[in-house]
Amino acid sequence: MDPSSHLEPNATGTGNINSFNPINSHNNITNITYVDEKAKILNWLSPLQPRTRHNDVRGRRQDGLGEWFLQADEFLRWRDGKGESRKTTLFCSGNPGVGKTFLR
Amino acid sequence: MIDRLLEDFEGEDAAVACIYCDFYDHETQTSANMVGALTKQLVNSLSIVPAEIQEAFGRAEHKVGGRGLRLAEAVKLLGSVLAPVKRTFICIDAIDECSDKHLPQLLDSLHTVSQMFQGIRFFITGRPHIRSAVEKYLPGSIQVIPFSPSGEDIREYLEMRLKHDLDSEEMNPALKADIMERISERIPDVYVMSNSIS
Repeated sequence: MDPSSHLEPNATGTGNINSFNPINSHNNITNITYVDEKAKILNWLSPLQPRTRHNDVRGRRQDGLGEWFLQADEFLRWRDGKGESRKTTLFCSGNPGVGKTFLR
Repeated sequence: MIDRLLEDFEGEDAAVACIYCDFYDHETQTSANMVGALTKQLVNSLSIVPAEIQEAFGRAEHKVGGRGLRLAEAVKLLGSVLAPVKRTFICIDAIDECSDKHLPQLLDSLHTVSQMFQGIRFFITGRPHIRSAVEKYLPGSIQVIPFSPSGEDIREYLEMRLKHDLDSEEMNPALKADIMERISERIPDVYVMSNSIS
C-alpha cells in the first residue's frame, strides 16, 4: 500500500488558524479558572502531600538497592496478578532502616 | 517501588498511588485523609475531575464553613476513580507508623475497595509485627517477603556514605578496605545502626 494514502486529505497546514481566534483565548481563561478549581478540589480531597514525600525519597535513593526483590518471582507474580492463589497484597516486612522505603 | 511500577506499566491502563505513614504526623494522617490522598493522586493525573467528585465537592462547599471529607465518602470517591482503571497499585509505606486509631479504618477501607474491583493490588511495607493486623483486614490475600539488604546493597551503601564523609582527610584506601570488610561481615546489625545514627 502507498504510504501516502494514510495522510489526512485536509492536512494542508491551514487547520491551525483557529488557534489564534478569539474563541480560543476565551478558552484559556476558562482553563485558568478550571485549574484553580481543580487545585481546590484536590486540597479538599486531602491535605496530605504524598507526592512531595515521594520526590524526597526519590532524590535520596541509592541506585540498585534491593534489586533482588524486584526480580523475585513473588514480586512479579503479584505485579502481573498471576499464580495459583492470586495475592492482592505484597507485604514487605522488615525493621526500620533496612531500605524498604527506598526500593526503586 | 512506585517508579518501578510506573515504568513497567507506562502507556498502559494502570495507575499508582501511595501513602507514607509517619509517627510524627498522626494529627493529619487520619484514615479519611489517607484514603482521600489516594483519590487525590489518581484525580491529579486525570485531565478532567470526574463529575462525581466535582459534585461531592460542590455539596461540601455549600455547607456552612465548608467541611472536610468523611471516611465513608472518601472510600466511595476512591471507588469512583478506581472503577475505570484496569490496574491500580496502592503503595503504603511504613504502615506500622499509622496511628492505632486510624490503622483499622485504613485497612478496612482498602479491603472494601479491593472487594469492589479485581484490578487493585497493594504493596505494603512495615515492621514484621504489623503483619498480623494487615492479614486480619486483608484476609487470605497476602504474600509476605521479608526484606533485608543484600551484601551488594550494603557495600554500595557504605561506598556512598564514605564518599560523602566530611572527615575525608582521615580516610585512606587501607582504612576504607578495613571498614568495608568488617562492616560487611556483620551486615544486619550494622545496617540498622548506621541508619539510626545518620
